Amino acid sequence: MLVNINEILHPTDFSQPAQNAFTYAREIAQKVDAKITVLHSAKLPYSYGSEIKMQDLIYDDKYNDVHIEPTIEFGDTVSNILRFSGDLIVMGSKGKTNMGKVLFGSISSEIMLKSKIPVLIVPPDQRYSNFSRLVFATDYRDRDLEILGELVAWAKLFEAEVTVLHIDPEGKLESNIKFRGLKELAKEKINDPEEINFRLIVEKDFTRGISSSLNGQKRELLVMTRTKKTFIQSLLKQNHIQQSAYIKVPLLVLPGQEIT
Amino acid sequence: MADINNILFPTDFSENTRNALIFALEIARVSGAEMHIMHSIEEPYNFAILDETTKPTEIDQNLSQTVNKLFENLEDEIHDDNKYRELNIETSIQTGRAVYSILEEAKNRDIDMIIMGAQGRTGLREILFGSTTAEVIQRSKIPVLVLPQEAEYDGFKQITFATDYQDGDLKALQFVVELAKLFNSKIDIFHSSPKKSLKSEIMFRGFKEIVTEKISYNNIEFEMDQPTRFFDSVVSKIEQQSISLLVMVHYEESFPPLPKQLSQEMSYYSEAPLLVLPGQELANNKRS
Repeated sequence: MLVNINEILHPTDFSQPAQNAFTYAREIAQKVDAKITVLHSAKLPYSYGSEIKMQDLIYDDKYNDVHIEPTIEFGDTVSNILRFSGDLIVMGSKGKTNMGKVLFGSISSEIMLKSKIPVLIVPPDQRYSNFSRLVFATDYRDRDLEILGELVAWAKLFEAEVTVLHIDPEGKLESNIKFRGLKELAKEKINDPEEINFRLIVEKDFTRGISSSLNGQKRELLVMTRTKKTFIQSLLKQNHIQQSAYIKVPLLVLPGQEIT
Repeated sequence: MADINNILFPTDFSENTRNALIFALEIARVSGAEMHIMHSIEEPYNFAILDETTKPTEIDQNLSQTVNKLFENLEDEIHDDNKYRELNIETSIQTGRAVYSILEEAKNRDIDMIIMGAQGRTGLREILFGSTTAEVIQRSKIPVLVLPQEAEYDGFKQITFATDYQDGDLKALQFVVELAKLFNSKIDIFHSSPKKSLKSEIMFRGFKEIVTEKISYNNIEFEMDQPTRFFDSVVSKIEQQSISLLVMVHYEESFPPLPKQLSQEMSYYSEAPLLVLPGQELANNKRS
């Protein structure tokens, strides 16, 4: 899912958070050698202002080696984004309309929940800097080992380390067994397993567990699979203190088996 | 709970419990434990076999005398065997529901393991024994070894430990290892899950890792689980190979692949001796 990223979609409303996310998109595009489609959804069939803004946005000497394709589409923003058939979506956590109040805007929330491809959500005030640590929160889903393998490959591009994290609400033997087992299996099945740190955190509250594992000093990227129920819950729970864990850290959401 | 110092052997003196007695005696002999043999007189009395004119107090006395005589004979018989000459035997008669008197005795006498037959003769006096076993398994806070009538003693060569990786399972395995050491048994650890998944694979490896780290016993083998239902695989294992002892850990709330009703049924269906360990107690018990 993370190897062979050839096409990145960057949806924009030209707001500051979107522009910040655009930097991430271009940096990643440079690393993985992908092209970027910059997508703006206009409310009106023809919008001259949008075209000018688009030209302003995509022109940047620093990234002149990245192939960028500007697209302005008419219609519903979410469906325009979801129609895209690329490999990765990079977008701001919120846009113009919902600055300030919420952690994730309505559009980014919906994309995170519905996208069939990975989505990187960038917080508005976290300027891009090379990731030094990818933190993967695992729930031992069937594909997690495969994902871990891909993350290790991805981490190489950024010269980052990988931390595998499991938040265990109860501290049961079973959870220790799974943790040890995953470690063992990873050692055997993944190239360069020595690049991976494993952390088991016993903490009732998932979000608190996550934030305790993010140290804030390193440039971290939090990676989660969408199957994680607690993730959805904490996302929908509009509690700022609880969600503050996610505010500072870019979040990569990988689609999983659909939640029923 | 590693040492076996006191064994409780409830008996109704039926043929079936005689078979179970062989197992109890062997474990007592090898572990050097004391044998507590008990008999429960349950109410209501089985009036059919008694003279209609006898009064309740006389019933009690008659019964006690009969049971004491049976105990004497049993003790003599055991001590007559050279192997068991040195065995310490205590006997006691309890009245009340068998299940409660068994559990009560286990508590009062600091019992480490209850050993009993799976089916009893309902015809003998006032004791209904078969249904008691199931209830003892469910309520006991200590290990219960259940011997089906067809069980054959082979020195516990092959112990099969069924795990569901629950909290008490590691402690349960430690207990089983102590037993295995006494008999030099081979322990086969097995788990079954309905379908193969990353979870089942990492749990298999993780448990193996932790066991290898915490338990020093060489003769343990881990069997990679086949995707089957727990009960099916247990039955097929019993059919295929000789299992000297099947060990299961029982949890109050539930034992996912094996609901507790089934765990009770197991003691009837299987011909293999069945050792049921109290998972919750083991999990709560911090000393190892």
